[in-house]
Amino acid sequence: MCGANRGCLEPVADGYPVRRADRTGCGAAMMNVTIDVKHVTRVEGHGNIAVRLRDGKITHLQLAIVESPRFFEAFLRGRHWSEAPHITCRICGICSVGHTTASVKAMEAALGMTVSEQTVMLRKLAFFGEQLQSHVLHLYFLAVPDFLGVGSVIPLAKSHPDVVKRALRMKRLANDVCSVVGGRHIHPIALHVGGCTHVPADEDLIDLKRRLEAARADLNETVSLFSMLSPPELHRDTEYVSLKDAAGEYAFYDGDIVSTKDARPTPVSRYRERVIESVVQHSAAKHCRSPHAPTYAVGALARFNNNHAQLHPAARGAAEVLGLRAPCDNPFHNNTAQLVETVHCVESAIELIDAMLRRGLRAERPVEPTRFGRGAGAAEVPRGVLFHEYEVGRDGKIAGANLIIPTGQNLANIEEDMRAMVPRMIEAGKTREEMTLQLEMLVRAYDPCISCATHFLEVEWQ
Amino acid sequence: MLDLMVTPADFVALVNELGRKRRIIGPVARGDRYFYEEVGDAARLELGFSYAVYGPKSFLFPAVETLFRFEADNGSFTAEPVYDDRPAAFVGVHPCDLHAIRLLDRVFAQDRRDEHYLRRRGATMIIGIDCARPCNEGVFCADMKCHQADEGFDVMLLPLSDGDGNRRWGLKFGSAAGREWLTYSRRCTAPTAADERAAETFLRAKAAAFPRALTTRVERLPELLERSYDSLLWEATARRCYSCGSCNLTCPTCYCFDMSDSLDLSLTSGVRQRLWDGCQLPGFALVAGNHNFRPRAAQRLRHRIFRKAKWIRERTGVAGCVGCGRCDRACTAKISAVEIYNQLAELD
Amino acid sequence: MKPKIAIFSLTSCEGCSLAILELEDQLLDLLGAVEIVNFREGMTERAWDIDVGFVDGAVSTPQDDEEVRHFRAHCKTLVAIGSCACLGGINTLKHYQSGGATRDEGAAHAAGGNGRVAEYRRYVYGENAEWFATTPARPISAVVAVDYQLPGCPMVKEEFVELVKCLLIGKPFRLPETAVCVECKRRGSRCLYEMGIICFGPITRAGCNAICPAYGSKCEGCRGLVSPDAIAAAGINLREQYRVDLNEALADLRLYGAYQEALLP
Repeated sequence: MCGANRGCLEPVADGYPVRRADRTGCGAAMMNVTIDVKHVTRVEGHGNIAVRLRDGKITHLQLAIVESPRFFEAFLRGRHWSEAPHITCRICGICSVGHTTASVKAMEAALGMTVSEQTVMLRKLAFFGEQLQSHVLHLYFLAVPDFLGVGSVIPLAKSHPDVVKRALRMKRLANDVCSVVGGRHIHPIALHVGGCTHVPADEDLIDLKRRLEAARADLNETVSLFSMLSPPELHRDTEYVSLKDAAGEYAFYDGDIVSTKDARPTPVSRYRERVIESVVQHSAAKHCRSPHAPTYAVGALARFNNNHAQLHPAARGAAEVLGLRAPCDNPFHNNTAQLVETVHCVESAIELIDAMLRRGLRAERPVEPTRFGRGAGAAEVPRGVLFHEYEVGRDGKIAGANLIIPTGQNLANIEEDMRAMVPRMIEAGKTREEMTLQLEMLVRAYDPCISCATHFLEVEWQ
Repeated sequence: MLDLMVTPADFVALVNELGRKRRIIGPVARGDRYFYEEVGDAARLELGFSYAVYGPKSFLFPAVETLFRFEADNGSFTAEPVYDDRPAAFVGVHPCDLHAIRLLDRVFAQDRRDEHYLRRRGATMIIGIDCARPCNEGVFCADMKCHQADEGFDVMLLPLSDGDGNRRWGLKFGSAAGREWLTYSRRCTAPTAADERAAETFLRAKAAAFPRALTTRVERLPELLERSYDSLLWEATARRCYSCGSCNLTCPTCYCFDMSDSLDLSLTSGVRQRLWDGCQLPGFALVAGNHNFRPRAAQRLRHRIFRKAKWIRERTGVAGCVGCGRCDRACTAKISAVEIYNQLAELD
Repeated sequence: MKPKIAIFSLTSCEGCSLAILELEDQLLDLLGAVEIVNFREGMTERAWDIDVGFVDGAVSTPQDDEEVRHFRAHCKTLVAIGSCACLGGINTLKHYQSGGATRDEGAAHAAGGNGRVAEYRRYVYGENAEWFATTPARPISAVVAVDYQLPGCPMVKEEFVELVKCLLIGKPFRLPETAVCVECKRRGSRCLYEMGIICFGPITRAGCNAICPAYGSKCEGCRGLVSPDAIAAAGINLREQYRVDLNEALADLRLYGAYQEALLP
């Protein structure tokens, strides 16, 4: 849902939105196939998959992003610096704490502000809440239905009520973590440039801690459930890019840019050296490449590959149970890495709350700007590393902005994965329906947030 | 004048003993403001508080209160009233707010008795605290003759000190229940002649400490308003009024409420609740057929002022406005009741 | 027969759709009371026989325009959810780029009048700006008839549940006609004006339980203006009591509510 730059390119089909998949002929023998998935479901935003095969060769393959362009970067100009986080969190309902965090950090860099330790602690707690919320939503509501052979979580409420209730319980807890700090999960209120306008009461923190501890049982059940599912095998040499926090924390809130192909840290202020954006016609979200590869991946798996040693021991234990080992180059295991991070976030949130209670929280005055200039900030939001950069004029109004969204960074890589996957599926004699499902599952494995980047996927097989 | 004396520490212990049988409600600090809340330990009570953001109605007549639960299934309908008559001790009520409780008691008992209020009130023991000086700028409690209270409490505390400057509470009984609670307590002592003198000094100092803001005597306000019904001041002032109702909602004597039914998603059960309403809200006097008796802000403002200073006193015999100044402080448009009285007197 | 419900998204963050998934404890009860037949973000199946359709997002592209007409044609009752669908929302900020001062001027710029690609499009997409179609951002009521509106950024999920219940039992649904201050006072939050901050609480429609002031932040008016009278009072108070120019203050209202200028003085 991070629709910083969205565009609609695909014309609306008659009777939209139905699948336009060619219903005639399927099976391995088929040499000419068109797959055309209009608006991939169970992802955030609108995207289409289009694949055309002629004589068994890919003639056309596209993950088209048809989300509306939204022009956040343009319309931030002229707004007061303090409004940046409240405007940019509206890029995406799922990732709004993430956008807020990257935004306040970028703006504080531009204005020469250093926030208090307490502010950083509060932001980190909200951030753990959002990772939990997003990962649980994705794992249970968007991904699990594929593995259980249903179209959504709704039939599971009847067939697997315990699973659905567990998912809702965990999601609610995640929401409440965000709410205690920021007032609500979707478009948080209290997180501002320079500080927080609300301080949680000790009672609320103690209650959260108790519930987080109780959630360990749900986490164990979740790990057991996912250890029984077998994601498809797809291996392709991929560059995984993420932040890495030299200070020793598993990078969510802070760090320098590293990758599996270049472990030298690049500070966020020089992000343009590691992320090169381009506009492509079939995507209202810009594509990205790195200096080392034409495509790269960000997200939970990238973080896991670069920072697994910094995971909480309980999360490392979960990775072992789930059979996830770094380096892993199977994109379907992004889901597995999300689950490992879920365990990490619960344990880290408990430790963070303990630290808050020990130190005692009190109302603080927000920090004021020391200059007006240019600055960049980044955060590892659920779907990968997110960059915000702002320039603020002497009048305190935003003069320029650049936002680089995780899903945008993944789009070209998803297309490359599809290119690698299609010939193998044909070789394995998959039907068109099976191929379509697997391609959709691949897209969903990346957990794309297309409003963030722009909307869905059209698979056309010919 | 005094019945007993007690040290602050012993008083906390006494309240905690009382807490075994009663819920303890009193002023609690939230940041730099105070609210009446239930506490588990009387040591949390901030008895030196300035004023509670909401008067005692926040406990006795909560902002949202469930009146009854209902179930409807297959044509049958049952409703079960909800009362809260758990024994409570309401500790730390200033004189102005005691006057406000007096009004609520009259209103909810007259004509049709309001069991929800009266049962809670009947189970509540009230421990007042006298104030030595105005709790805030802009109060006009002395003008309204509400800065002292001789009744409406079970026990009243006077903040005194002994000859060595140690703080002591002087206790006055206002009811048999108050007397029964403390008379045989070993934590209290009989007042000495010095204590009595301290109490007299306290009252003399208090009388001098409260400024007068009103240019008209409170007894004259009803006549003044009578003559000012058609004053141009209502329109001139109400042009600033947002009709947001903040004055009503923070007023300790505003008792109007709205009701709403809330149904569960099963559509078979639900609750009826009442919640604070306010005569300044545009839809307050809207009735079936879409007629609004007071469509203009000026009419609503006049209505509020008439009730506070004239009609309620005429109808119930007690003050409709206690001069606590909460309405003036809550108004972002800075409309002030006391200023309105003074301007009307000037125009009169 | 349980009513068939659909949830659609136009140009938006989809936060309002997500808020439905975030009903958490109430979600199973909701699924017991209604049947969700079309919800792209949450399910694969899609049906077009719909009793109540909920739409978040603004109409901001030619495709949105077609889609919202399609929704209208297939939904017996159509509900706009969130500030984007009800008031134009944050998407309308693009109108005020490159010199658009008022809503109409801004909309003309957004459309890139006379075939000109508006500057803001070039700012994001460079020389390829024309690849990405866009129109002025409008609330859906600017294109189709809307039966109910649930404003807010994001929408208030409790209000959503309330509307569903009203529809189920055939009870009239009305938005609160009071200002945010009412809820702020019922909940005991500190008034932002006490801290010298201009808050839109007195002029904004209640129903959000005054959540922003409760967390120390000013009301930004995301639920829309409560009445023209309140705006008139605001003009006087801001000038006389706070020495703030109304127009400057109201520029902030454009964050979520650009399509209310008819209500402005």
